[in-house]
Amino acid sequence: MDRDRRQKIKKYFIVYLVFFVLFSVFLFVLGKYQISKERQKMFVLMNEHPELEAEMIAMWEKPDSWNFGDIRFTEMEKMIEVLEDQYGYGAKGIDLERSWWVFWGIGILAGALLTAAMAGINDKKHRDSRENLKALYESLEQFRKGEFGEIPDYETVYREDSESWMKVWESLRELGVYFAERKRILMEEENSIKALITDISHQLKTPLASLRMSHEMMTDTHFTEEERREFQDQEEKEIEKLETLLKELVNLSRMEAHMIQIRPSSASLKKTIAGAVSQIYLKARNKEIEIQVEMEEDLEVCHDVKWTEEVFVNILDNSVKYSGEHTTVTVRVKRLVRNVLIEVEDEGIGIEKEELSRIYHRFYRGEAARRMEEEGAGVGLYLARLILERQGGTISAKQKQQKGTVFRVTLPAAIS
Amino acid sequence: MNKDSSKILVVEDLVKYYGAGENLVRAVDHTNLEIERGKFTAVVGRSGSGKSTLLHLIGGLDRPDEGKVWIEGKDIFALKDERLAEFRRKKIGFVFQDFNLIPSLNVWENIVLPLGLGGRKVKREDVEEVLEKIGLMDKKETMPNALSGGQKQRTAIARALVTRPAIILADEPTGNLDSQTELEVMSLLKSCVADMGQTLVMITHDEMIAQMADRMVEIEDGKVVNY
Amino acid sequence: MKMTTRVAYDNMKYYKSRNILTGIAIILTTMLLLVIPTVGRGMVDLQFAATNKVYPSWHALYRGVDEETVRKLAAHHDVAKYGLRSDAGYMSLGEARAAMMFVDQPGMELYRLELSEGRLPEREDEIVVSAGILKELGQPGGIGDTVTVPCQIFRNGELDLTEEKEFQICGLMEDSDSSRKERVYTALVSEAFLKKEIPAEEISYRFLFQILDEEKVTTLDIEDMIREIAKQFQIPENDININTEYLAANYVDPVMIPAIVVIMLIIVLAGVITIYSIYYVSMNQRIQEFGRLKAIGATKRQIRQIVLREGLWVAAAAIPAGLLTGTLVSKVVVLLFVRVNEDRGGFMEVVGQVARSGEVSFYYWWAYVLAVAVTLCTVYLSLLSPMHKAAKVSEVEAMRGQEMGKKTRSSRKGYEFITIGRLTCRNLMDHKKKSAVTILAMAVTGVFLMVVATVLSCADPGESADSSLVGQYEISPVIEENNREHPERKWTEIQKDNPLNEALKQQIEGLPGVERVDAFTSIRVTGDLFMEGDFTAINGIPEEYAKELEKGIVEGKVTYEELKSGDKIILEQAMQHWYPQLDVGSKLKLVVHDGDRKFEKDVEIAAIGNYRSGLVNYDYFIMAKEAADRLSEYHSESYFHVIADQDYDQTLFESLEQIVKESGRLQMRTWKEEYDTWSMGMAMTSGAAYAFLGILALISVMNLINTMINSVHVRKKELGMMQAIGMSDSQLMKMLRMEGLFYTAGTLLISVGLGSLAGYPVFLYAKATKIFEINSYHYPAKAAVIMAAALLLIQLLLAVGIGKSVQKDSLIERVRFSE
Repeated sequence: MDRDRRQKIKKYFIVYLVFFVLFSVFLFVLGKYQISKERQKMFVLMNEHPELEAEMIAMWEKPDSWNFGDIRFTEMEKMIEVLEDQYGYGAKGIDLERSWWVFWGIGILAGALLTAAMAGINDKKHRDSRENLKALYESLEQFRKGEFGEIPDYETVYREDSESWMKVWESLRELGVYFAERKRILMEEENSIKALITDISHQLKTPLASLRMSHEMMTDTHFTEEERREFQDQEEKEIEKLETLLKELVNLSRMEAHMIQIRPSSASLKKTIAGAVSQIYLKARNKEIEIQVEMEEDLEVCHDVKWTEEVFVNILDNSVKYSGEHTTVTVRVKRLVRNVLIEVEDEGIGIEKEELSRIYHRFYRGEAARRMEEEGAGVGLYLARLILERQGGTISAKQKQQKGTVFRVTLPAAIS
Repeated sequence: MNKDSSKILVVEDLVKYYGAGENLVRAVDHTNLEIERGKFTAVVGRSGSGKSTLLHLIGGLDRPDEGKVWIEGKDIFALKDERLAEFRRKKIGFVFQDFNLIPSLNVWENIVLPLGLGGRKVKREDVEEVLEKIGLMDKKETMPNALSGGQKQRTAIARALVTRPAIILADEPTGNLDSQTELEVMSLLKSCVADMGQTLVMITHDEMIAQMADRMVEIEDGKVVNY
Repeated sequence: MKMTTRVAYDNMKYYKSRNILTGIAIILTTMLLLVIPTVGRGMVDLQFAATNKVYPSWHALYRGVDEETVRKLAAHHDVAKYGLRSDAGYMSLGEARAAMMFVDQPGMELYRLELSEGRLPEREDEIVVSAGILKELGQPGGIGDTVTVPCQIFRNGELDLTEEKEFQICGLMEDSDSSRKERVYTALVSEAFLKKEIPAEEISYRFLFQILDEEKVTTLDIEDMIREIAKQFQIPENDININTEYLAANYVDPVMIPAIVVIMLIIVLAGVITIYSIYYVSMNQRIQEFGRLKAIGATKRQIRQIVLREGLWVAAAAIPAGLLTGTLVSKVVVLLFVRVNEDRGGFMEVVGQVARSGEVSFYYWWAYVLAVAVTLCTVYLSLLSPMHKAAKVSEVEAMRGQEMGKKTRSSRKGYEFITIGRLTCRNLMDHKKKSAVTILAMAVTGVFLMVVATVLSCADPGESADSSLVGQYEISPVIEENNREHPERKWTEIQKDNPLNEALKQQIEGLPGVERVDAFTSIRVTGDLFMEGDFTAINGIPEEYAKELEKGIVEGKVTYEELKSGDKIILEQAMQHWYPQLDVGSKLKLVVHDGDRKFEKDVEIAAIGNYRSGLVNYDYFIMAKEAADRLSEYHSESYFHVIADQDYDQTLFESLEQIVKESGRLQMRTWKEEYDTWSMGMAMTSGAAYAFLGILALISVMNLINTMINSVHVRKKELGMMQAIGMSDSQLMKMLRMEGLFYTAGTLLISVGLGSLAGYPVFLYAKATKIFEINSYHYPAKAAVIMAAALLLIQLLLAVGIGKSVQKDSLIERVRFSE
């Protein structure tokens, strides 16, 4: 754009400069040549008629001192007649010296060359343009066929001098990359759904197997009433577990399939946290775990209340699940500059440093967690992170010095 | 010369040595790496493991002794210096640990600096949008010496983002910040990058930061020990 | 080594670039400080030596001293060496003249006469002659031969009749070129001969002597002494002849010393400004370091010492280099000067010989000592301020890396869009002080240069020649007021038979190429106004110059018509220097000396004017010619100004020369001579002045170099970071170029702007004091253009050089700098 124009102006200026110099030199040489020829004539005459020396010099060198107006018209006519009749110099044709013709010839030739050169340059430029257009057309055809990958480098196709063309080409490349990416994501999603289905079915297998076993145990007449009741209880538990798992999986699949919309709105954080705490309260009390909430004043935070509550439930659930009895889980809320920080601190088994990044993976359960008797599908944190990130928040976990973990959640503060 | 388009960054057998003979330091030692487009990759390693050097090579700030780096399918070290600078300007955004801002320019000017260097026009609305996002709209005329560490880094991030580069390379951007500001900056970075579909490669030695990434890559003694 | 010294030494090695520049500045300063006095003194010494070879070495002589007085004088305390001469008579050789005189041995030495063979005459019949004399006598001979000489002896105050006498040649002398040309010779006779031929009471000697000069150094002192002694022995003023050239050559002209001191001060100033600004600009970098030093316990004094010693270490390295170059340059300059002037013949040739023979050594120990001392002072002065600033650094501030004493704003309304240009602007604005100091330091030299260039440009040799001479040729009678030999050369005698008469006028006007001849009249006057014996003249100026007279009036008002009255005069401004009481309206009682008569004349000063010296010729009372003519009975024309078509015409010149020679009583000055003298003088002066200025400029360019290097160095981090975000190398170069351009533009603006403005008043001053006969104002366009071009070139080279060196550091090192 700007730079292009500036470069062009520079080029034209240089061309003009070159022309200027050449033309001036040419004229100068011409002039000198002319003068020397005139002087030659003068010298020859002066030699013959030295008495007219002063006049001749004046005539040639100081023509202004001669008043040509004095020469009367009729006299001039007479002289012209003499020239014509006696000496045969016609008034029609221009009998210039041969050197004049030579100069004229050079000039014409130069002009022709210049024009040809300019035409050549222009033509080249147009040819370049046409080639560029051709390349463009071919690439677009490729896109149409669904081939997005093979867009060659700019340099190998174009001349480098046109900024505008370069921009177009770059945009085209980026377009191609974008389409290729879209295509890939689609394929990925397809694959991921396939993977999800596989995962879910795998996850369901175990509890389902256990259920079947319980059921078979129940229908087996070999067991006593008491024993059968035991198995019934077991069944109950398994069904509960299955339900929880199913719920999580449903959430997960919906989230993955983008069927769930996260709609953040400005709402009270306190309420959301309170809601989450109340859901976990019972579980916590069973293990005699105290849940403390430290929050000075209520804060209006931009979040999807339902799903964010779900996130806190997940985190608190984790904390409670992996903490021992008679411990405390503390929830702290701090106002940062642009965000709000919610810390959930427990005194549980903690998370090993190496595992910190893996806990957010789907279906991951830490070593220590697996060792515990507790159930868990390992989906909670994955879901939590997904939900938070969709809202512009983050989640991270930190190992405490003493036993326990601190989960830190940020959410964007309301735009005041 | 085309690679799989999902891999926005490919490092092929990269080598960078410093010194010679007894003092030979293998900063980057036959390293290979692939970074996926649109994802946040954390590069973790102890100090001296060569991660900074690797980042600099990736960003085209330094030339390797051997090996190639492909960004968006382009072999960046095949470019001449001028073109490389231009490429960097367009495709890569940098956030350093400190000293990101020009002390004599205010916040707005620092942010539009890369545009100015590239001769591109500034769209007022775009810059204002970015300023809003980083929450420094009211400080747009403030000078860097009156900004806190977090604010400085936020400005640096905004500057890195303003040219909509394909990749953002960050070298311990939260290294000098306290833990809460750290979180803020990280959250900002993540959300911006997610919004615009950019790729983020960040060096950090903090495992806590690394966990926020989509993928973690470990570097040890100049080699990538992939995770 | 003491800690401070050690630290200073290490610092010096570390901050290479700044110290190299300072070093160069010191070298140049030392060099100049050495060269100026050395060359000055060297030239003077050369002239002394040459003068001693050429001119006779007597300080003064008293004429008409009788034998008794001779003895008394010889006994005087302050009379050192003395010699005697007495003229016996002349040989009558037709057209040639040969004086016969007695000169004693000391007299010979004082006169610098040498015999080529033989000895001085002792017997009354012995004589020393020369080849030329023998030729004129037509009697070849050598030592021991006898010659017959027709001579006229001085008796009774006049030359007696010719007598033939026989002499034996006892010695021979060389003839000088002028002797041979003019056919004027000298022969030596013995005192015996003198006493034999001339009655005792008529013998009078010329007493040549040298003053005992141990305590007296200046020419003024010696002249006073000479007059004092004359008074003591009642020798009249007219009989004293002081050898002013010799004295001037051998004793110091008091005017020179202040001039040299002033020049040296200028050099010191340039040096101080440059070194100071170099340090000023780079002080900021060192704050962290000084803070740290202070934090670990260095006292303020120790920090000051470190800064000072660092500077001194640099000086220690640079001064010897400066002295060395200075020595070489001095020698070259002097030899150059001599070579250029040699062709002017005579005296200058001798100077050249002396210079080459190495008789005069150009190594003056005091000059070296002076140069070293002054340079050290310069370094000390320049470092005073930085020393104190460094000591004042607060530890805490330093640690935080704030800039020294800078009040930084916390917010600023900025540009919407950043370009390289605006970046540069911002950077320069932020360091206003640094930029200002740099520009001012350079501009000072620039302004100085412009002013000097103005004066030099205004001194057009053509115009100066025009100023000092009216017309193309000036013919005047040879006037000698105090020549006993030629009493007819007194003005009052010349008036009676003025060679500048109508016939001559016609003759000259008839020569081809002559337009006309303007005659100026001169009327000798004295008055009670003047000091005893002092006189001036009324200048009668013809009507052709009426306009010029009227235009040159600075005070009062008078027309040429009024000047014809004879009662009104215009006073030349120069007169007011000596007689400041004269003013417009003053009435003077003058005594006119016309031929033999004197009469009183009252005049009134109607106006005061400033005219070219050629018009006035030291006759400061100006009247119309016809009025002046009325005052005189005789032909009182004192100047014929020949106005010719061409400035110089060989044939015309030769014709006029012929006329002058034939008359024997005229002298001529030509426009061309003046022009040549002026051009020559101008060329040399300009050459020297420009060379000097050039070096001063070089010193201050160190400044620019340092600032630019420093600005890059300080911003290495920034630049690295900008390159990381995509600033290309060519953009970096552009930025550097623009910065350099800013400094250049600023400097040029002030230098040319202020310099041009300042040049005018200086020009006026020069015009008033008639330096170089400056008359009209010429703007030194050439100097301005050259200065601009040179500065632009330097700045361009700098930008390219610095850019290249920045690029040398690989990008990563620059970025690394930031971590």
